[in-house]
Parts: sequence; structure tokens; C-alpha cells
Amino acid sequence: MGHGRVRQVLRTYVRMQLAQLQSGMSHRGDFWVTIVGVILQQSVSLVFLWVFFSQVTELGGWSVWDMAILQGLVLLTMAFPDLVGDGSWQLRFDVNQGNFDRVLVRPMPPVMQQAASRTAGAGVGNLLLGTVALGIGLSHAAVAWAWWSIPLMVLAVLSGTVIQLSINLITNMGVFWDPGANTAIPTLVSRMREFAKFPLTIYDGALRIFVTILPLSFLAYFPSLLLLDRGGPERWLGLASPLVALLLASIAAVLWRIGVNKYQGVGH
Amino acid sequence: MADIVVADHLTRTFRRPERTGGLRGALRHLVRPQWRTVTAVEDVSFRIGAGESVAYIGPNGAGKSTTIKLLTGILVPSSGVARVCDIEPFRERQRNARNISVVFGQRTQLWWDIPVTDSLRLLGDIYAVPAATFRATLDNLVDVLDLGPLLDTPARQLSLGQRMRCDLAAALVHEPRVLFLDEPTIGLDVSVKARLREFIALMRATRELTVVLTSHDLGDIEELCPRLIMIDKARLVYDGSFAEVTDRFGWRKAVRVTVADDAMDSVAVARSALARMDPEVTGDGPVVEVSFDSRRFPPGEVIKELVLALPVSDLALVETSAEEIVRQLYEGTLALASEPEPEPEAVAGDEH
Amino acid sequence: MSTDLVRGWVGRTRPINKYVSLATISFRQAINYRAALFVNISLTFLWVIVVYHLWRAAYAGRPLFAGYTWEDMRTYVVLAYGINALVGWRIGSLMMSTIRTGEIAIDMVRPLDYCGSQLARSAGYSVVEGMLGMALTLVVGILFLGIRPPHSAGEAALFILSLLLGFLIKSLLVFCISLIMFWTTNGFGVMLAQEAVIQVLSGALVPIALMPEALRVVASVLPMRGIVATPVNIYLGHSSGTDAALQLGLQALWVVVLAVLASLAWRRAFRRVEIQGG
Repeated sequence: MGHGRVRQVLRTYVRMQLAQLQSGMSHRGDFWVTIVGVILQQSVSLVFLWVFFSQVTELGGWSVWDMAILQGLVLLTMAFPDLVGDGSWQLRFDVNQGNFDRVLVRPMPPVMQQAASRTAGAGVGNLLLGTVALGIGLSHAAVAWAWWSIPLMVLAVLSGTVIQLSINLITNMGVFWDPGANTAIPTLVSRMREFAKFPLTIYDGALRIFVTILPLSFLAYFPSLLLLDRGGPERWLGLASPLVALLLASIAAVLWRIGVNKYQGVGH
Repeated sequence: MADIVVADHLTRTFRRPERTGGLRGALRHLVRPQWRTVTAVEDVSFRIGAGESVAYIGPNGAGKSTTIKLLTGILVPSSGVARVCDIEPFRERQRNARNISVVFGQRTQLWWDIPVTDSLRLLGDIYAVPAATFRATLDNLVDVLDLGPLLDTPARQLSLGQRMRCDLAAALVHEPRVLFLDEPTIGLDVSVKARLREFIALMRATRELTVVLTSHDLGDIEELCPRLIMIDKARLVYDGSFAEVTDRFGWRKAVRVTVADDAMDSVAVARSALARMDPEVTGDGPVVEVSFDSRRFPPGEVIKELVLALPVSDLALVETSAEEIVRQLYEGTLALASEPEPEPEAVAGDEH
Repeated sequence: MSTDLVRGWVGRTRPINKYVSLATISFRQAINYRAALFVNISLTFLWVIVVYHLWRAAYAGRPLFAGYTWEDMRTYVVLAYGINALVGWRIGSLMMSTIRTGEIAIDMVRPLDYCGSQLARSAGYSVVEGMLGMALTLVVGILFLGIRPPHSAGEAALFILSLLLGFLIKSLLVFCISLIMFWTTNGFGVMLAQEAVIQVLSGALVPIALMPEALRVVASVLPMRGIVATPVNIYLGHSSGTDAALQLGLQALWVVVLAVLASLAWRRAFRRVEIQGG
């Protein structure tokens, strides 16, 4: 695809997402109620932090502000997939109802059409909450500010977003092989991001390995080590988030191609 | 005329799991799955030229929608080749997508909650239609389809007929060369159907649009499609003009008379009067219907005999409707042989 | 029919059978959806795992937090989850769908009838959800997290009584809040909000005694504490003797208050549906 083509596809993608947002806002009452609901749901973990740290002053060297940074980063990596790539969750419905045919008949990459087929206004809630949590955390924590601090955070959030998007897509693709697959497993996998909101050090043994391999610790923990100037050599993994994101995106791309080929009857 | 749509020995098979029910069946399928092969389309070949309008018909499950999916790039052929505007739809999916458009009768391609005009503009983006062209095309479509008052309404608030008009505009926004219509008039009322047919005819005339229509509505076919391709049980069974079908099989005619005198047993009288013509006589109250083979007995003769035998107060000649013919084709009671059925006299006593 | 209801008040068996059959139906429905239910429950359990690990790290430095030992705390966390799982959103989403499908017209014979039938339905689902939740709780709790059993049979008995009262409180509360769905079309946000608020104020998130002053005061006066905090504290022996009796009494009081509130709120909602034409 030439440059102009890439730009045209991206521009169209943005407009398709905006159309979804427009659709969501057309049901005005529901829109705000859902956002408030999501904000309340996600703030429960922030409330927990507040209450927990009213009793416990620090946990393994982590203060409440440090934890707020972790939470803020994770919430931000959740916000963008909601807003600009929620369509994976729609895949099962679309494939079973025949809507996926429509996607194949249009001159645009199917994965982008699918991603743009839905938007969760709830993402706005996560965006707000994440920014607030991050802001509060940064202003009180012992951040080792350097020229790369902010770019690092931006990189972490971007990589985390790609990681979450890829995982969502991979887990929701099951419908290509089993039309009866429901969203139970994808939901379960995506909820595991709760683990990412707290330092890896509290987990032990098998759980710690698990949390690292499901690249949850790359969402916020490792980058935070760099940011806060703590931890041993494992902190440099904070710079590896983009690589992990790339790896997962590639896996998602390959599996997607295989899945769509299967849908189109390639191979038998 | 260059061939726009080419189907060349298209075949599509599916593997379906052979499954028995219950837990044991599920386990067995897990361990040693059995598959059976279902052929949806077998060795189907035809060529459609630019500007042609073709009806693609067949009973449910015959392979119609599979063929369309093969031609639009949704499915890959198991064997054989499909070409549309000289592109293989599956191999160059996006390039092919620019040349075609599909209207699925039951499912709209409009975005549900946003105004129609926004949907159309979005489609313009997706198909990368240059702004000036888009405006001109849209103005024309809005004018012809009378969409002005509908443009600011979200699709969910439109009636079925209004939505279908908008869907047609949506389909033509990027000026495709081939339009596939899948059951477009289902559920529409008569006046809307008429408008749609007019519109499609206009598009064919002004834009040299090639139209492939699948429909169960004979009215659509009669008005729009001079050419008929029929598929049954995965195979092509007919490819020719619609007129020819009605000519070939329209030999069964009927005369319907209303008898003035209630008291008579009109059916019996008619039957004995026309005995030599081997008719089928049915009666319902004062109305008697006599159906006969018009190749052997001209309608005039039948009418003459009836009028002589019964006090006829009203009379009508009933042609076999296209509907009826196709129904019989679907049911297999009329066989589509490769030559027209020979005249009965010629084959009297013969065996095939 | 009305004489049946009056007789039902006095404890005759006929109308009560109706509620039992409703509960049985939703029980069977829940069994059908057990895979999805199990996943739902597992999702919340993830949170338990996180909290468990956090407290473990905290207790590494201190033996007691507001009188709770590490053994107390981990038992608390696991039990709190199990209890909260007993009543899910089910009653709310059921109501949402009956409103949408119009099935609700069939239910709307009498306010008391409707409320009762919703409770019955909720109970049916809860038996399955609760059983699955409890099963998961017990298995994981005993095997991996080292929760401890109650100290005495008396404690266990009081615990169960308190649990039942808590179940009623949560059901009634969820019922009342779900009535909002008569006014909005999409109750999803409402359910999320309600679950979040209940989670915090019931003590499911953190024992009430540990909460900062402001929150603790609020939680003490609201009914939600009767859902989790009261029964679990009885179980752990943190509330015993006269205090336990007092807490149980408070729970019972809230049940009555909420029941009255529920029927009042229901009448308003009922009227609105009538106006809307169902």
C-alpha cells in the first residue's frame, strides 16, 4: 500500500470510529449512565488503594502514590482499546449473523473494519480516571524525572494499548473455528489486567511467571521501575514494551489471516 | 460486448462434521471426527456481458447464495475460476470490491443510528470516491430516488421501503460496474417495488450497469431481467432468455367461465362436452376452469365448445403465469431438457 | 386469586408453591448457563487473588490490622467474595429483559406478588451462582489460601442466620435500584454502579473497621454492611454475644425497611409502566 493509501485507510478508520461514537451518543441517557457506571466500577480499585494505604504506609517500598501511577497507566491502556478498537468483541456476532460478509465486500482491510465496528463510550471513563490517577500519583511520588520520563510513559501507554488490542483480537477470533464460542474466555483473559495494577513483587512463584508471560507486567510495572528508579536490572524490561507489543500484534495479524482464510473456505 | 462476469466451471464444496448427538457423540467427534462433503455449487459456468441484467434463480438451498459469494470474493472456489471485470474476486479482493456492489435485501449496509447522509459520506470515504465525483453522484441519486427528505433521518427510523431506496443509493455511491442484488424486494409493497425496478432499469440504461439479481419475486425478474440462469441442486439447469421459458412451458392454458345457471352440474357437462380434448376440469360454485394443452387444441376451439355446452355469463383466458412455471421448475414437475420439448404428436408412442 | 394471597399471608402452602416453582425454573435456567456463570464468578475471583497477595505483603510487616490477624484477613477476603457472589446482577438483568420483552405484563398482578416472584427468581439463580461461588471459594480457599473454619457450632449457626438476612438485604437493595430500569432503557451502567457501591459499602472490599473515618461512618449507617461485614465478623468471632445479637437485629430491621421501600418504589414504577402501556 502506498503512502497515500495508508493515509486514506487511516482517515477512513478514524471516521468510522467517530460514526460509532456518534451512534452511541444518539442514545443520550444511556451514554452517560454507562460512562458513570464504568467510572464507578473502575474507581473501586482506586478506593481500595486509598483505604488500604490508610492502614499500610508502604508495601515493599511502594507508596500509595507509586501504586496510583501503576493504576493510572493501566487504566489508560484500557481506555484506548475501548474507544478505538472495540470491534473485536463484536466479531462473534458479526460472523454468526453474516455481517462479516459485508466486511469482505468492501475495499478496506477487514481487520480495520472490524475494529471500527464498535466503540465503548466507557473508554471515556477510563481515560478520565486514568489521567486523574496518573496525575495524582506523579505529583506526589518520588519520580526520578529525566528528559525521557514523559516519552517513556507515552511509549508505555501506546505499547500497552497495542498489547490489549492484540490480546482482545486473538481471544475473540475463536469464532472462526467454533461458531458457538462466546465471549466468556476473552472476557476472562482481558480481566486479568487487574493483576497489572499492582507491583509484580507481591506475587510469587508460578503466579509471577504467569503475570509476566501474559505480558501484563509490561503494561505498567516494568516501565514504572524505570520511571521511579527502583528495582534491579529487570527495570530495563520497561523499554521492551514496544517489542512485546510488536510481537503480539504480529501474532494477532497471522492468526487473523488464518481465521479469515478459514472463513473464506481456503483449504477445502 | 466484453464479458464482465465470468463463471468458469465453478465448484464449491464444504466439509460438514458428521455428528451424532449427546455426550458420546461429542466425545467421538473430538477424538475421531467424521466429515461428509457437501457440494454447494458444481461445475457452474456462464458469462455475463456489460450492461446485461440477469436473474439468478433456484429453490432454496440450490446454491444461489454460494455462487454469489464466489463471485463477490467472500468465498474461494474449490475449483474453477471466477472473474469479474477481469479480476479474480478472491485473489484481489479489495481491487474487486471497488468494481462491485452488493445489496443484501434483509440487511442494510447503512449505519443504524446516524443520519443517512452520514452513512453515505462514510461510504464515500471507504470507497475513496473523490469529493467532486461523490457530490455529483450523490446529487443525482438523491434526485432520482427522491431521498431529499430522508437524508437527515437515522436509518433505524426509516420504513422498509425508504431504507431500501437509501440502500440502493449507498450501493451506487462509488459507481460500481456490477451490482449484485440479493432478494432486494422482500417485504416491500407494490408501489415501492415498482419504483425500485424503474430505478434499476434507469441505472442500466444510463450507466451501463451490469445487474445480477437473485429473487423469488417473479415480478422483479419479468420486469428487470431478460436473461434467466437457474441453478438447482448445485448444478446449472438453465441459461437463456426469460421469454423463452414462458414460451416453452406456457403451453398449459385455462379457460375460466362463470355459469349463469347454478342448478346444473357444470363440471360434468363441461367434461363430457370437451372429452376429446382430455382436459382438466375443476369447479367452484358457478365458476368452472378448464385447463388444456394449447399446443394440441387452440383456445378458440375450447371456448367454442364450452359456450355451446354451458350458459356462460363471463369468460376469461388464463395464461400460465411465470410464477407457476418457475414453481413447477423448482418442484421438478417440468423438466428442463436441452432441447425444447417436442410436439406431442411427433413423439406419440415414442420412448425416451 | 385474592383469597389465595390472603391465605398465603397466613402461611398456607398454595401461593408459596408458586414461588418455589419460580425459583426452580430460574434454578434450571442457571444450570443451563453454568459455563457462563462460572466464568463470571472466576472474574471476580481474580480480584480476590490480587487482594490476598496485597494483604500478605502487608502482614509481612505487622501482625494485626484493626484487630484482624493474617489468618482472619485472608478468611475475610475469601468469604466476602463468596457471599457477594450469592446475589449477582441477575435480578436486575432479568428485570431488564422482562421489561424489554413485555413479559413483565404477566408478572404485574400485584406489587407484593411481583416483588415476591423476583425474590424467588433471584433465589433460584443464587442457588446455582452461590453454589458455584461457594464451591470455588471453598476449594481455592482451603487448598491454597488457608482460610479457617468457624470456632464453634454456635458461631456457624449465627453465621448462617446472618447470611440469610444479608441475602435478603442484598436482594431487596438490588431490586430497588433495578427499578431505575423502568426509567432508562439501558440498565447496564446502573448495574455496574450498584455493584461498585455495594462492594465498597458492604465491607466486601475491605473490612469496615479498617476504613478511613469518613467512609467508615457512612458504611456504618447504611444497610449494605449487613450483606458481608456482619456475617463474616460473626464467623470470625469479631462480633459475638450481645454485639452479634445487636447486629442481627439491625439486619432484620433493614430487611423490613427495605421491604417497605421496595413495595413503595414498586408502586411508582408500576404506575409508570401502566402509563407507558407496558
